[in-house]
Amino acid sequence: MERRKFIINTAAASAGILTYSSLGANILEYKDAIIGHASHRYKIDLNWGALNPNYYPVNDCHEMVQDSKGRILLLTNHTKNNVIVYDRTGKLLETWGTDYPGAHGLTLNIENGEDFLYIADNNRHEVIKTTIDGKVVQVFSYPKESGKYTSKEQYIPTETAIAANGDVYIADGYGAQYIMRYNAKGELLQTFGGKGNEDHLFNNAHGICIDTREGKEPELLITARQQNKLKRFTMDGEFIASIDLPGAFICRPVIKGNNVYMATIWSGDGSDGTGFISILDSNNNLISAPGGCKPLYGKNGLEPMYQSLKIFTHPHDVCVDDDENLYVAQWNSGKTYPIKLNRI
Amino acid sequence: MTKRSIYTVFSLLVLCQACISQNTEHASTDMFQLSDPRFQVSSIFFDAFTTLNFGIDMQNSIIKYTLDGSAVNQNSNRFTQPLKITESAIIKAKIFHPDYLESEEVQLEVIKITQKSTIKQMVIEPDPSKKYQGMGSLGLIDLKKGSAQFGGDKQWMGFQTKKITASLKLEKNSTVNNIVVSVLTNQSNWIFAPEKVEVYHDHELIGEITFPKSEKESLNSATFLSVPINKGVYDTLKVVIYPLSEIPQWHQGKGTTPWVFIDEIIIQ
Repeated sequence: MERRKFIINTAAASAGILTYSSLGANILEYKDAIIGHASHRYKIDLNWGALNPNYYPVNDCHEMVQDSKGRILLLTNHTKNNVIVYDRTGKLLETWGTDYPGAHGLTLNIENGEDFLYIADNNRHEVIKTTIDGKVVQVFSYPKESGKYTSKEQYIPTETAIAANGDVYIADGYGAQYIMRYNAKGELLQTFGGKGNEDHLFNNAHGICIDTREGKEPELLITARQQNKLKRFTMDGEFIASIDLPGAFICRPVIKGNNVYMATIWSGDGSDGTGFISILDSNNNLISAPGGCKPLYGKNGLEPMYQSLKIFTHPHDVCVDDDENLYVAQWNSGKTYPIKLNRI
Repeated sequence: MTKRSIYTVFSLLVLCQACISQNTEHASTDMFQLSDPRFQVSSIFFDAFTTLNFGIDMQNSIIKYTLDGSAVNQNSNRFTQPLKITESAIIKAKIFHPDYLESEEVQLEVIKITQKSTIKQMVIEPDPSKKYQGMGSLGLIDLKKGSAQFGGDKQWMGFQTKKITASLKLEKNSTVNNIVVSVLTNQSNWIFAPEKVEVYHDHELIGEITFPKSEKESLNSATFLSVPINKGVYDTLKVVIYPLSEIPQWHQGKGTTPWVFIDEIIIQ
């Protein structure tokens, strides 16, 4: 009942003096699905960004970012158009990119007022830096100099994060689980992490980002997906603490405001098709899980998470726009385009 | 005149509102399916009883279930409180909700053990894969179920071979009328249930079961292969487990040898 009242109220509010929408809803007995919890609840737009797959095909929709002009960029591993650029309404603006068969990680960084993209390519075993329209400016090839690798194939980078001083951190999330730290010139400064269950090691270091929320000293947030943990590290690669998210197989962390958003590709026992979205507050507590069960904290911390509605199949990334609406890109989900969640 | 322009503005606003609604058309509840119900049982194997419970997240949702293996429908029993189950059962369950589409039906088998394990000794051939060694043959008679997340769970022994033989030495005067081989189905990880189990006593075939469902596409689940035995008193038994000869054509691993994961062999 409460939910219904809420929908009607918001509809009435958006219509201003008119109650056209709420009337319509009553007549049709049509209820918008609302997902998420507490302060972070959403309605679902399944049509956003849908294109004709004959002209603009996608395979896996791996990651999405919003650029300085407010455009939304989608990275897919379809080499007909690796990058698809939309406006916020989901209208196609342009496409580019045919050289990224393993396009996986997409990070946007503003350098001297200009947007740059860092594409982590699983198949090419390297990270490619491009301008916003796709011109290659730098390649971070496999880190032989780290001494951790004997062949290119052992290195399967999944994500990149760029610090304010220009240092570039690359997570080898599908390879040997090391985190590589380069300077802006591309010289390897440091290697940390590696595969394992200990605090400072990873099992599927799938995503990485830099956390400066509430003005604190920058630190790294790094995913350990198979361990259902998000791990905090200093910028020098020292382990600080883990954030336990039992049952949530999280992809990369995305920071917007004081929240961390994470597509959660599987849940529960890790079965196929059990994904949802995880949203943390400034204390790194899970406060909302669109498509998932209500997060509950007991004496052992967060109760194991699971999917409650089949909205998503395998969410792989979340992009958060300036109105805090979400765009969800999915892996292995029938070659579908992103799903937009409009915050209510 | 003023009235007319007010009407014009009003109708324009209505039109605008209609346009806005169209642009941000939201998906309705009846487009989405509820996720599978989540079983919680105190124990898959039990001697007196096991307690069945369900995690319920969605407000206003209702869980219905059966215990005899029959399909769940609107007329099935409604789950209201934890339930004591005292006999072996095939539990089936579904979630219903006034707004959302009903869930898939899920199934869980619980097994009553009528006596303490009568297996004194067990020798498994060949050895399990190095990666999934389990806890040796003792792990197959400890009545502890392996979890669905098989990686790192020592209850599971994993094999990738054409044939697995378990030679059992039983306690004196053990009456046997059924043997259960407890395995895992997780086809996306290339783990298939065996297609056949045979049980021998002194080279004499005393029970067998074929499991054609093994090669069909199935959801991840605990799978129990229950082999009826010519009832009798036995001191030794040989259980021969045949994996599917190869992964079926519909699977990406087609033509290769599937994995078989075993966590328990139970004498009844």
